[in-house]
Amino acid sequence: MAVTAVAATLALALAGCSGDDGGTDGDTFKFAVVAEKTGAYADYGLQLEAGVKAAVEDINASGDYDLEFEPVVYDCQSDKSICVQSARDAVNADGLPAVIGPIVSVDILPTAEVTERAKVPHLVMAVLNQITDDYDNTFRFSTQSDRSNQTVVDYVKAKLQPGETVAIVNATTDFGKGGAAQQKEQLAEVDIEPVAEIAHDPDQADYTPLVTQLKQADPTYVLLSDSNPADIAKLLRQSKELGLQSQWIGADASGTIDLAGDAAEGYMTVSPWFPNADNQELTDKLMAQGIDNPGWISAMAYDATLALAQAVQDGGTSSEEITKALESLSGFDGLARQGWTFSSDDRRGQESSQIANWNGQQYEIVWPES
Amino acid sequence: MTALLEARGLTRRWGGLTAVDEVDLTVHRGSLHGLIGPNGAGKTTLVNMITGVDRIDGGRVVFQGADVTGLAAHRLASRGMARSFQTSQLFEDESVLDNVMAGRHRHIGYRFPHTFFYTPKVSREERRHRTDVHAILRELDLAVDAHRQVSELPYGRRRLVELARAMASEPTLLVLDEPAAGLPGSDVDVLGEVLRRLRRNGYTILVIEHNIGLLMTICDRMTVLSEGRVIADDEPAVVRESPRVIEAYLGRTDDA
Amino acid sequence: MTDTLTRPRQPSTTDPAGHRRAGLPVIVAVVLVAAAAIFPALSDYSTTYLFAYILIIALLGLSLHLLMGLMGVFSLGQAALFGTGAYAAVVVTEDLGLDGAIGFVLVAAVGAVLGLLMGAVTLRVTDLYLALTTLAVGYIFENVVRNSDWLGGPQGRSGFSIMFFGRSLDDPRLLCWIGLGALTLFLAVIASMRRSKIGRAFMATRESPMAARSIGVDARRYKLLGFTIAGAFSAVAGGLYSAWSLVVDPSVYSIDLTLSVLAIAIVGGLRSAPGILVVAAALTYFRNSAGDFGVSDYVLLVYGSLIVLSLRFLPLGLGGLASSPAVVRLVGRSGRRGRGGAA
Repeated sequence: MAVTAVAATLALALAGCSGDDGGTDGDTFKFAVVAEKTGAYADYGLQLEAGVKAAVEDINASGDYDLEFEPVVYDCQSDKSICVQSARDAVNADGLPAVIGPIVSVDILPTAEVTERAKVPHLVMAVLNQITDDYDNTFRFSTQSDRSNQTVVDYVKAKLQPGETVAIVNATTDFGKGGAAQQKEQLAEVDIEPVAEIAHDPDQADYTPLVTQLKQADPTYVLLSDSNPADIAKLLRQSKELGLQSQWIGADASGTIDLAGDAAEGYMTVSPWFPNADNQELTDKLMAQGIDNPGWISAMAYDATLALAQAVQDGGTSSEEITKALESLSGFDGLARQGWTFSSDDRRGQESSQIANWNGQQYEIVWPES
Repeated sequence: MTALLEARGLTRRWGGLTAVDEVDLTVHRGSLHGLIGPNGAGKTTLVNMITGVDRIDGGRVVFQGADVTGLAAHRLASRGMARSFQTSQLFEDESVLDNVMAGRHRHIGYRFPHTFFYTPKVSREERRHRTDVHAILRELDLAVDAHRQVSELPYGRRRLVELARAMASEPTLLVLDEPAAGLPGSDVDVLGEVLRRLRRNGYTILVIEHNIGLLMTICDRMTVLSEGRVIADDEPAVVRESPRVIEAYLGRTDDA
Repeated sequence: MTDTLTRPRQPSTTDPAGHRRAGLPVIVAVVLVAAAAIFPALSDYSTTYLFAYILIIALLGLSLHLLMGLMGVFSLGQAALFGTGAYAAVVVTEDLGLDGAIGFVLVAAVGAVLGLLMGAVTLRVTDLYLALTTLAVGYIFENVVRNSDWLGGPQGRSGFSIMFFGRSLDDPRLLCWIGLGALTLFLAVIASMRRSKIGRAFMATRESPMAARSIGVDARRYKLLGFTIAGAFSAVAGGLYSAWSLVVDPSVYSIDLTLSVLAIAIVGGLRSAPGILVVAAALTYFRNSAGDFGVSDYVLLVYGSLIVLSLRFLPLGLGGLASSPAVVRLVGRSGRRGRGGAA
């Protein structure tokens, strides 16, 4: 009889959920935002949501669009399984014609499998190449990792004087190893041989041996592939203490600047977007949505939402029409970045990233040179 | 009478201490054999060695004509040597019936795939064994408690369940480690009656006790251990008169 | 010669067939009827997927029921078995091109072998050491997979299609049926073992290894057997999860999954299959819909509180509720009152 109880419970649990029709409802266009609002990646998810909401406010206030836009936010709790299920709820149960998010690649890949099967356009902020290489319904609103690394190499090549050298430092994580391998390859293409290649395990207390090794090699530039803010901060602090003169260039890892304090002064970061005096307007809009330190994720989400609205305005409200319109988007200027360009065989959005120098007060864009 | 169990020169050492020293023990088929001795004489150690629970440092054990020295406990049990324990080793959260049914383990013949899909064969065999177990429970006056949890039973009844579980394996040799320990006097008499009845029904029983009065009245033969050595091995009447036993054991008790 | 005592002298008066438990065919029939009743409600695509996910979690929960509840083995190795099953399903169906009907038998076999090995490695250890050893197996596998290019490395594998009987498991209803089939089979096997020789051997080993040996139970053999069965079904759950999540990556080995299934098993009652099934359904539904209720920040808090409350007030979990003394007293009292009122 216990089994009957089980069955009854299941039936009751399931009877509660029934889908409602989403998409266009009169004058409102609804779209899905799947975000890691809680859990381990809550910072990212909240940035994503803030970016979308800031953009939607502006879009609806502008009066330039025929429809009212409304994001339907699914909190996928930084859990891959819930992200997949949220995507299914969004595109199948709720019938929403477009999806933005989530952020972390482990979460994006399975959601992209869902949206691809449903032929729903999927706007992502990821850096992983695979996401726009493997799925023909995705649109990248960020700079993918090989192009970010290429941006760093381009910068180094442009600045490198005769006699100056380059070293590569990376964490022994997936991100670190992948980034270092890519940079080495890209440096080789422009005939630069790194004078030192040093890998370190994450979460160590003492990086003195690494810094000492670097001092001996004395490179002009140190290209860093590490996504752990605490480790980057330790590397910067210990380099300063030991008097290393090299210029560090690393990937954006939010929180690094705060953790490193004055050792972060002069640290260069590569990222699709930096908050600074030139884009105060966007920074303010994002902060108005309740986040303290707007980063590239929220800025990219803002642009993605603008592009989605443009595509709906140009093409229509069905998934197919939105996909077509996004694929023909060319040189579209967002508020964060200019020149978003997509086609049916190139979904990568941006050609290159930006490099900024933290001067102790704010980010100064040093590349591309204006 | 033929020997069912023969232990020769059994020795167990713990560091410098020799707990069991060159002990010989012969249990004849169909007999009720007592093993007595003062506390610390090495009775339980000896029985643990014989039943495969403890390691054997020296000597041999022959059971049913086969050398079983050092065989694992479960293998000895499969060969028909069942035992109870001094401290309760019952399955507390389970029913009396399930506890005793577990004792049937070695007699249940069905194998894969029957066990996995409760086939009619399993059903038939389980029913048959359950009938046998109910008979044992009735024999020990436990039938009324068949579906009660062991942990709900009073102490004396639980000792009976332990005996029932050992009996359920239809042992060739039943080894009981202090079955009367902690029982009130009236229950000890009942237990003595049960053991006598089992012996009449053909069981061979080796019983360890330090309640010497009980054993004197029911045993066919007794082995007395003191400080790890055998000091007497004979019929109760002879043992009772042995000066060494009186000195080592009886002399210091006012038991009769 | 020793049989005289055990022969019944008169026909048994009590029912020796055991009147307390429903027969196995009844259980299977009830499950199937319940399933048939639920399935029309599954016209909704994503609800069907949710149901499939519940089935996968329930399979894992039952494997803990077997290992911890029945055998008393505190294993944290479920993630290793589950993850290996997830990868095995992709390799077997995608790389070897086998239909799931055969492929999943292979997946189960892989899980069984791994379970057997895990049992063999931990034969001599118990309790905390066993838990840590089995946990370590998961970490080792995660690292091996992360560094294996043919398994997709850190990004894992995606874009595969698992077929079953020539149809794609992309159809959630098929996934549900397969999951329900596996679950029913597992339930049947557990129920059958529990009521027979093996179940009593598990019980004996769990409660007193010394007593188990004294009645002829080879504790090691039954430990290996239990690990093997749990391994097979955990791997099948993993394989179904691959089909469900559409991507298999090293996160399938994560400790999070082990812990949330452990929570389900504890709250449901390690000894109670129905309890685990109810809680698997309820907590999975809760977790998935936590966002709708606005409580997703507190999911882990809820899980933790449930474990604490259950250990404090219901040590046998939800499944032990029916037999807990407090409930029995309550029911008894209201029963008496009811009769008194009628008189």
